[in-house]
Amino acid sequence: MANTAFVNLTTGEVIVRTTNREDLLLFIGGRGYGSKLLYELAGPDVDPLSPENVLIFSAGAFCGTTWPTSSRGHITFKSPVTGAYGHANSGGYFGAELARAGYDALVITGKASSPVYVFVTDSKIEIRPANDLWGKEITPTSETLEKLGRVACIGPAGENRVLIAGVINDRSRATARGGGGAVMGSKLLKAVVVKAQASRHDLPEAFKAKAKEMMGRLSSDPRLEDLRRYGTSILVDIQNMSGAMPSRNHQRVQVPFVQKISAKTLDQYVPRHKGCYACPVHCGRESVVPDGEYACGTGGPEYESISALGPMPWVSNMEAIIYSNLRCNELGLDTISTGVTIAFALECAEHGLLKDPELSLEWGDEKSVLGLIEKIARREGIGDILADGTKKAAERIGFGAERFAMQVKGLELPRQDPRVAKSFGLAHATGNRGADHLYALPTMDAAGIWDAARRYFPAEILDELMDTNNEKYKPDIVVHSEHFCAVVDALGICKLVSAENYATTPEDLAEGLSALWGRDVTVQELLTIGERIVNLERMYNVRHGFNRKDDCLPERFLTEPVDVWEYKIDPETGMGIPSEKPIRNGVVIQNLERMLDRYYELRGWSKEGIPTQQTLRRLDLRLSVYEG
Amino acid sequence: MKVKVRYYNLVADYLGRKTEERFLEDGATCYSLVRVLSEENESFRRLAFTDEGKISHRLRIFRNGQMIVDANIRLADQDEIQMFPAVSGGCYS
Repeated sequence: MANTAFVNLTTGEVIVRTTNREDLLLFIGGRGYGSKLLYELAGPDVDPLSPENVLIFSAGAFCGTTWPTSSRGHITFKSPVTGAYGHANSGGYFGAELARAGYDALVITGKASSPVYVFVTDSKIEIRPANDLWGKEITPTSETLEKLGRVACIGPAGENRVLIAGVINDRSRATARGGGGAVMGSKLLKAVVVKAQASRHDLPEAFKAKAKEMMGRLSSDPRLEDLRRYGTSILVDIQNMSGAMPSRNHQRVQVPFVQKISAKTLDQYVPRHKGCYACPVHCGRESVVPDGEYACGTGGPEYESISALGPMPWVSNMEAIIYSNLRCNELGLDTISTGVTIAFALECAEHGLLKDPELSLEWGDEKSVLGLIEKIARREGIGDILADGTKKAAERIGFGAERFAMQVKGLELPRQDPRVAKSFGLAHATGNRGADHLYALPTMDAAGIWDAARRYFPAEILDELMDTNNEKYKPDIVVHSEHFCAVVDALGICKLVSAENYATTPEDLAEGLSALWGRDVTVQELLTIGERIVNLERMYNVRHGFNRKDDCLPERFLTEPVDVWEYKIDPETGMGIPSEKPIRNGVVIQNLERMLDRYYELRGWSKEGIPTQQTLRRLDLRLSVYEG
Repeated sequence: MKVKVRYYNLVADYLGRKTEERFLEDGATCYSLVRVLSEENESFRRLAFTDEGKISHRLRIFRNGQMIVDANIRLADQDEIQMFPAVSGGCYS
C-alpha cells in the first residue's frame, strides 16, 4: 500500500494521502482503482474538457516490481469522445517509475492559468511552468524533461484539444485511446515527470520467488517466440490470411499487398528491438528509414498502427506507414483513431461528402494520409472537423456520413473486422470505453488457446466456442476475457504475455497476488475482482445514460457481408492473387441482439444492459458509491 | 495407428474439412502429420511452416489436450489432435 496524490492545478494545492486499503482489496489498483476514483470524482454534470474533469495516473499492484512485464501505467478520465468512461494504458517505464516513487495514483484536477508540468518524486510534488514547452512535439519535450525523470506528455494535438489525442510516455509509448491527451491539454498540463528515489522494497520473499519463476517461464515460452522475433507486426500476415485485416474503411477484409507491409518487410527497417520495464520479450521495435522522402527513426510501428495507417486508407508503402506512425507519435495522436478517421474521410470523399483544396483524398494516396495527420493535429481546414473523431465529424458532415463512421460509443474501431473475428465484434460492441480490442482481448478462439478453453468452459460447448464463425458462445469468451483483462490492468502487467495467450494464467496471478497481499486469493476471487471492475465501469456509463442501445456496431458489419479469399503470392510481383472461389462466403454478424442477450444474462444484467441490484450486491459494490 | 484430428477456423478452411480419422505409420510424429497435410494445400503449407522448414508458431497443435511444443514428438494410436491457426500478437494502448 502506498499513497494517492491529489494535485489541483487551479489552486496549486497538493494533498498526499495514504491509499485506503479497502479500495485496493476491492479493486487491486491500476485500472480498478482509477475507475473507483473516477466514479467518485467526475459525475454526469462534468464536461470532459472542463477543469472539473479528473485525469488519473495510476499504477497497478505489481507495477515496478520484479514481476515480468510489470510496466503498465494507466490513465483514467471522463472521455471527451464517449462522454463517459475513458481509460488508456501503456508500457515503457513511466508506470513502473510512478509505483517505485510510492504512488498508487496521481489525481490531477482543475486547470492551470498557464502551461505547466507536474514533477513527482517520492518526497515531493511540484507544479512547474511549461511555457517554453507548449507547442513542442513529443521528442523535444521529452529531451528537455528526461533530465529530471520519466516523462509522459502531450503533443500539439492534445494542446489543441484534438479529441483523438493521447498521452505519450517514454517518447513512443502511447496511452492513446479515448482522448486523454485532449483532457490533459484542456488543463494546460504539458507533462508529468516522475523520478523514483528507490526500488520497491516492500516485496515479500514469496512474491519475489514467484516473479522469478514467471520471468524464467516467459523467457522461453514458445507462444511468445514470434512476438519476440518480429513484434506485433507478426499479425499482419495471418490477419490477412484470416480475412480479419480491415481495409478501405472495412469495405474489404484482405489486401493483395500484404507482403509489402508484413513483419518481414518491417524487419528490414528494424535495427534493434525495444523492451519495456522488466520485460523478457522485447516486442517493441525501433524503425529506421535510412533515406528518401520518409527518412526517419521512430518507435514502432506496431500491428494496430500498421493496419490503421496502411490497409485502412489502402496505403501499401511501408516507409510511408513508418513515417505516418512517427508523425502521429510526435503530434500526440492515437494512431488507431487517426487511421480510422482518415479512412472515414476518404470514404466520405469517395461519395462526394468531403473535399480538401490541397489533398486528393483518394484511396492509397499517402500524401493525403500524411496531410490529414498534420491538419487533424493542428485543427486546420477539414482537420478541424476530423479532429473530433468519426462520430462527431459525421454529425457535422451530415448527408448520411455516419454510415462511414467505424466507431462504437464514439471511439473508433481497432484493427479487427467484427464480421470475421466475431468475439472481437461482440467485444467492440460491449466495451465500456467504446470500440475496444483490449477491454476483453477475446483471443481464445482465434488464437487457438484450447488448453485454457478446456480449463474454463464445459467440454460440451468447446467445439462451437472455438469456431470463430459461430456466434453462440462468443458471449462466454467475452465475459471471461473481460474479467481477466480487468485484473491484468489492475495489476499493471502486459496483456501480450497474459490475456492474449495465457502464457501467464489467472492461476499465476492469484498466486502472485496472494504472496503480495500475504493472504490467499483464489482464482475465483481474483476474477470476481475483475468482474467488479467491469461492473463499476458499466455503472459509470449507466449514470451517463448508456444502455443496450449503445452496445452496437456500425451498420456495415450487420448488413454488408464479405467473402474471404485464399491468396497465393505471385513470386515475381509479391502481390497476392485471390483463389477462384472464396474460402468463406458472405461473412457477416448474423445476430448481434442474440449475442447481447446471452452476454447480459451471463453478467446478471437486465435486458437493457444494466447491472441488477442483486448483481451489484453480489460483487460488493455498495450502493452509496453508485448513487450520484 | 489411427488418430483423430480436428481442424479449426482457417486450418479447416484451407483443408476443406473439420474432422477426420487418419491412419499413420507407426512412429509418425506431429511434424510428419503436418508435412503430409501441407502437401494438400499451399496456403496451409504457408501457414504451417517457416521459411526454414520448421513448424510455425502460427499453427497451434494440441495432443490429448496438451499443446505440442516439440514437433518431433511421436504420436500414439487413438491420440486426439486439434489444430488451430494462432491469430495473436496484437498491441495496445
